[in-house]
Amino acid sequence: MKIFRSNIFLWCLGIALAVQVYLSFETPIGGSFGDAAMLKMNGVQDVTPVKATLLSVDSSSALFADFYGDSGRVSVTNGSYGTYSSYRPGDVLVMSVEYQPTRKGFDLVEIIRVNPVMTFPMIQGLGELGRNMLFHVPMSMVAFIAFLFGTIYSILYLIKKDFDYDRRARAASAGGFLFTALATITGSIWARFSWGTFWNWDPRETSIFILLLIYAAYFMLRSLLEESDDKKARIAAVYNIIAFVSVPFLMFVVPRITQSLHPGGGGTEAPILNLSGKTHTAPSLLDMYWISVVLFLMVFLWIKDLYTRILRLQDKQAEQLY
Amino acid sequence: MDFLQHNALYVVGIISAVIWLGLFLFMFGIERRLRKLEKES
Repeated sequence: MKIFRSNIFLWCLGIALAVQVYLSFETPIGGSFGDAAMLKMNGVQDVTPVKATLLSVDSSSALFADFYGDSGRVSVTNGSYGTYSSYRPGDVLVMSVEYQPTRKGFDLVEIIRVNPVMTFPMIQGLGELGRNMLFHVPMSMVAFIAFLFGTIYSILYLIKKDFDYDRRARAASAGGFLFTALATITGSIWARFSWGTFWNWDPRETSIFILLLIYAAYFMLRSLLEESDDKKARIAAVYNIIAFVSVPFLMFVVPRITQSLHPGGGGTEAPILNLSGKTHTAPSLLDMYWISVVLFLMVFLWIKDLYTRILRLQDKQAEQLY
Repeated sequence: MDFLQHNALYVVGIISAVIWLGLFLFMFGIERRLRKLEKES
């Protein structure tokens, strides 16, 4: 499609990229007072970043309200980096605090940011690792969309017998394979720090590995067939359609019906796509997530368009040779 | 070493930005060459 060759598309892609990198790395993590208290009481971590609005200040402490409306008194101690002297009621502060159960209050450790443009919501137990949410999950979603595109093009090829649909199916499936591999790599890095190992044959990991094999077989089939172009394209299209039948099963069903460490496994509710149809994700994180999905989708569409055009040129060259 | 440990997030951010930039430049290069080839053929 011509739109992917326009400068407007490239500008949009550049802007989406800049926004995504900003959201992923520059936004400070800001939780609630409840998060800070719970994480300290459960022995997960002593110090937690909290985002709260300053209500009032006295000599050595200040009263805040977090985004849930819960109030918390945060005291300045000898170990604190910073004081409230330069802030006014209404200012939004992101600060590291430590919960003190004896007085049910908080000690200020450090003021991280004042009036931030955006904050990254706290995902309990993940900390900074939660930022991978803007890479791993959108990549998986785009992989699914790419395989869906590939299948639709394969169906269209079988109906219309136009070789261009075959090229598009091949390009879209290649994009899907690439994004599945990227989601597997980012997931594996996440697993290293959350589960302690890069790979442990969790049902989620195994199902995605099988999916990669199924699509690797699609490309092998294409390169090994020695039939005529039409027959080759027809066999590949039929295989692609059959391969897609396994995608929802391997991506969504298997990890949800088996005992898995992955969110959504073993009967637990997945944060975004789950059986109850409700998202268990902070609204601001969901907004960031959709921006990432749009970015990766644009990258996929560009890759698909480039690959299709390369295949078109290759076929044209082959025609001229024979 | 101390700098890397205290600014780990920014180091990761810069590396990922460099990877993105490299990828974009690579794809943009392919795009330009393809346009040229498409015009020629």
